[in-house]
Amino acid sequence: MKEQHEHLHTHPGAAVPHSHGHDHAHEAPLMPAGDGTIAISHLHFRYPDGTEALRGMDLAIAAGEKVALLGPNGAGKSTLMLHLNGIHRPTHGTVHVAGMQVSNETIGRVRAEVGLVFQDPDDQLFSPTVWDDVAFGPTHMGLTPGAIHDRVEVALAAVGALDLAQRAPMRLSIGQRKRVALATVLAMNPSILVFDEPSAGLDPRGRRELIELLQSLTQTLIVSTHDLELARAAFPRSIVVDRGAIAADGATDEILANRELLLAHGLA
Amino acid sequence: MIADPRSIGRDARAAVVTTIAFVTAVALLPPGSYLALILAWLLLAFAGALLGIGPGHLARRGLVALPFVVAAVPIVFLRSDELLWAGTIGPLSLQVSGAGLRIALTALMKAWISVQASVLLLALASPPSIVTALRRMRLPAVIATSAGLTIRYLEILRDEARRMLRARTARSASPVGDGRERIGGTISWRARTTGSLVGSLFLRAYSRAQRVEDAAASRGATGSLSIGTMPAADSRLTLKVFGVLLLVLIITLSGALLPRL
Repeated sequence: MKEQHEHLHTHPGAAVPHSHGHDHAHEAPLMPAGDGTIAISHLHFRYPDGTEALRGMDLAIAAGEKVALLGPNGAGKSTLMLHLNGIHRPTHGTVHVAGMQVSNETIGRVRAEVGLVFQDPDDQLFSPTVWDDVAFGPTHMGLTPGAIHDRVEVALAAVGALDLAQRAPMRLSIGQRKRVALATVLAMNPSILVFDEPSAGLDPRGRRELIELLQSLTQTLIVSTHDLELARAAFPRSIVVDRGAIAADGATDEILANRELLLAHGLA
Repeated sequence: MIADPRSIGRDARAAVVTTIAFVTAVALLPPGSYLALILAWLLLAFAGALLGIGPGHLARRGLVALPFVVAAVPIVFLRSDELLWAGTIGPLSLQVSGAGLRIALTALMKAWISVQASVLLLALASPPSIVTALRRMRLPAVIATSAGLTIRYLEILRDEARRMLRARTARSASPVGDGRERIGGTISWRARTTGSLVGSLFLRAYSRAQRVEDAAASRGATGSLSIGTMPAADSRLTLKVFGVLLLVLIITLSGALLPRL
């Protein structure tokens, strides 16, 4: 992991070695354009079947903050996360990410700024090789072949998966697939990373490596998790979400020390 | 029409037999039986209205059959009888046959009506009860088991496809660059990506099928799906069968007696 941390600390906006002889004339800057902030105001969301998933959320997250979203199943954590990338749009209220309000006009840039890493890496990995999968985001962004090559290489190195580049995703272990899924969004140079249950299904070593990886990332991080130890180890701030609203917001150590709060919201 | 709507625990044989008989009768109508086909559709629309399904909704749902009858279109140009038009369009020398047009149009209407009949069947009986009915009607176990498993896992596959598309959408960003990039990649790249996605879904389905088979085998499964407790036999089944025969007779006679165009 040591070597990979050196790579990781270069994110975001690291200078990528231009050693492949590709045409970089039209290469996009590697520094994310956004500032990594999140501002949510009076967010309400109702699913088409009438279920009210979010009931008036207000939330501000500063650039570079590491925040854990805690809460029972069905609390609204995943729904909230899908708003950050514009997959869901508010029924009422506004969502600003990286200085942009999420709307039809900004959606393309929002998706470049917010990297969503889904719980099941198989949902994210669909290409014949790991390399192709990591290249999907940069290719969709219209980068030159040289820029795509560099981004894929840096992203795979960042998660310690460069040696997996030509492997088929479905042949990898769950831990490897999770790392590759993270690389698929790192290659887009987002200023905000959002993870849904990143430690689910990992063995102790995989979990420890994940914690080290998360600690080393410099982007704004938001993680939805039931893993309280993961929250304690890598996320200084925690937000407890229950029944579509924020029940508590504060220092992780204080929240995890409040057994009454944890019991009230199905976390203990 | 028959049986209680959406009943899982009821005998759905009458509904299944009616649908099969109706579709068969419609399929056997000779080309040009437009009036008979309209009559068949009116019967269907009436049954739909009894179930609370409007004719407009039913007609729209029937349109899913359209892509499947594209195969019938070439016959309009391939037949040489009853020539309606002949000429050249660019390098192509074409002729439109009246008989071919009649066959294609009839096939189109038959497919459209048959799909609507299937829609009504699903409104009348739940998929598991349809499978149970098919088993009760001595459908080979392997076919009934396949149908049952397909119904069970189609929903899961649909959810998997939805999650994969969502994950792809989340990474479909526009560039943060100088604006000269080709957003979204080339058409061939998009086609390849979509192909990979479909292929991946197939592999996941295949892999799930293996896991399901292993899990079933570990519990002593022998290859056929248990259908559990049979619902009580429909006490008015004989009466309904006569009703079905009457329906088939009406459609067949209307095909024979009503003028063809």
